[in-house]
Amino acid sequence: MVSSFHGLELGKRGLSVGQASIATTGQNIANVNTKGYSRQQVNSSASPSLDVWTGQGANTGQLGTGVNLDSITRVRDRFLDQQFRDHSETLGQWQAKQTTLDRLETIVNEPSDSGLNSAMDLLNSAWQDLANEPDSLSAQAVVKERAQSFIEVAQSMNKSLDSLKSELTQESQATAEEANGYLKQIAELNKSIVRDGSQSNDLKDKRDVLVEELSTLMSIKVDEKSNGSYSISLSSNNQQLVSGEEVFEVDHKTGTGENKVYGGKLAGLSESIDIAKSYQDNLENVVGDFAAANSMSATGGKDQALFIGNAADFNLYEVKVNYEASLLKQPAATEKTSEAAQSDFRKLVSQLGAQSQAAIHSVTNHGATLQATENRRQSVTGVSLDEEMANLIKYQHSYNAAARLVSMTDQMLDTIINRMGN
Amino acid sequence: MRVTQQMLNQNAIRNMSQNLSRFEKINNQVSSGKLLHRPSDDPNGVSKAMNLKSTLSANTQFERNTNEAKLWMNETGQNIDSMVNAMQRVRELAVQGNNGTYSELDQTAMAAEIEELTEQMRQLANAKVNGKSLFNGQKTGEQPFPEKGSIAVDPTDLIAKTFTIGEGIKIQSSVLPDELFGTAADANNLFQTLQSISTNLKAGSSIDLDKIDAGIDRLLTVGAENGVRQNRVEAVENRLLDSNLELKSMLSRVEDIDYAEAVIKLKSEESVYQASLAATSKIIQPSLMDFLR
Repeated sequence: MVSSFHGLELGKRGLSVGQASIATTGQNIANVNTKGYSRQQVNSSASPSLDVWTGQGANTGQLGTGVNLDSITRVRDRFLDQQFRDHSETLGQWQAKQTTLDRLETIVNEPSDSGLNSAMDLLNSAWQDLANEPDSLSAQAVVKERAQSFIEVAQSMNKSLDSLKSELTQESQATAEEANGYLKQIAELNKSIVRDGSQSNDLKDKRDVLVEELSTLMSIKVDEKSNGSYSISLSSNNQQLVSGEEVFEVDHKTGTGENKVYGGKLAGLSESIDIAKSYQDNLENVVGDFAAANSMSATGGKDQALFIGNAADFNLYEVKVNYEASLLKQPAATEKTSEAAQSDFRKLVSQLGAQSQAAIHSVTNHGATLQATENRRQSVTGVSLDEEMANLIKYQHSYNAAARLVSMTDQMLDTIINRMGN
Repeated sequence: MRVTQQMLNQNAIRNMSQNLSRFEKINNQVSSGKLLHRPSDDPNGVSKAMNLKSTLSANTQFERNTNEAKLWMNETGQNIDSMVNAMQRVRELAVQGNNGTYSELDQTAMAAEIEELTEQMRQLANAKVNGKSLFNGQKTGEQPFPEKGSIAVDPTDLIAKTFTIGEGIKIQSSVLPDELFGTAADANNLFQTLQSISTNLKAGSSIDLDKIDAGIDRLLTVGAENGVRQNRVEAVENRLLDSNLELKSMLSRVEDIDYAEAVIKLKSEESVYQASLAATSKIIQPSLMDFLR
């Protein structure tokens, strides 16, 4: 025989699960725009039943006791998470490179009427005007001024390249620090999650957001331990980064390409530094070759070469125009060798263009892939307001029905207690 | 696939920003008239454009050189013509002098005219173009015959003036005094001939007309050579003008936009962007909430 208050208890359980469901729906709706939030769902099951005699043979019947609230879990796909992290690592790397190439293009400033190419053209022209009037002082002066403006353009390009390199190094340092910050926060969250047990949904969401941020900076592998903590390592060499509460900080090294091993933005930055260096070297070669073609000597002084500089150990910052020279003559080999230097410069520009174009395409492609993965993940984990609204109605009705059960049981008890035996 | 609000949002934003950036790019092209703004727009095209610009700049310089060369050659030709005229007068006087029918007074007057003509020849030989000596090779600051009576030029380092009128093409644009008058050692040196005419006239002895003819012939030959070179310069100039036009239109094909095409593209990008705005405004608004009461 069941107890008299069985119906009240059953109704109460229905009410509390209904309430939990409504509260969870509310949480989902409230967090519809929260970054990294994964929708939560209430998992319930029928509570253990009571055996009652039914008079049908030896077997007892099973009388339901209502519903039980098992857990509130977040809906998430770990496979998609890993995919997302892989893509965002590649995208981070390309974005860093693309930004650098973009700035390099601005520095090179071609095609334009004020770039290095036109400065070289103007000097070539000035030489011919001088050849037409070899003893004209003004033609001499024009050659020197054209040479000066060529040097100025080259030096300002070189200066911009220097500052680009130092900014990239600083950014690389800052990025390594940012990564270390994420690693520490992830370890902290690991600690809290283990302490709270495996159901700390919101903490896990927060941790996944941090892991995603980290994954744009470097290429990582994530293992979830049975106690809910994450163990993170570098995918390139399995170097441990986070293990439980322990953090192994990454180190930015200033040497060439040292942080390439990290992958992600960090690798992109160190590749960027290499790229900037190689363009600076090429530029220096072009300027050195062109100056040498237009005659360059280390000594300067009267009637010497147009440029003062050391051909064997060329330094772009030290090259100067020889204003002392009074009888400048175009060296016989100029046309061929300066054309070679100019064509090297054109090669440099088109190489930069091709590289930059490839980087733009890569960023677009990886961005689209990442977006597609994010869509698939959102499809699993995102909050749909329509769905939540429909659920809300559903839960409201189940709550109302459970409440009706309680009031009906109340009426039954009223009949038994208050109206019987009078 | 389960679709959520955030997905719609993100995709809509992404699409709109992609459309907007394409719109911006074509807008930039239309407003600047240029197809190429940075090397990555078309790496090959940019290098080609730079090459064309360099060639064009060299060509413009060659054009200037050609004009300068033409000026020198015209001046050379005109001066040689004047010299020939003067020499023809000398020949007339010489023929008269050889007649033997003129008085001593007449002979002296003829000799005086010959001396005047000699001075005229010297001045023509010292002619200047734009303040530069025409017949002194590349030493344009000095005159070939600075003093009256001096007939010898210093031939050391005396190289004819040349102009570069094309890639590797140099053209001689003046003639050297020795070519024109014969060296000082030459028996037919023009100034020596002139001197001997006036001496012979004064002395009443006969004048060697062959020498005068040889001098005139030399002037005419050198003048003709100069004329041929002038023709060559004109041919080169025409070619330069043609090639300039060709280079400019090539450059334009590489780096300029086709306005008709670009404006149509601009319009279509604009409408694509507007469509994406309209679609986004429709998709974001309604949810089940708007219909539940």
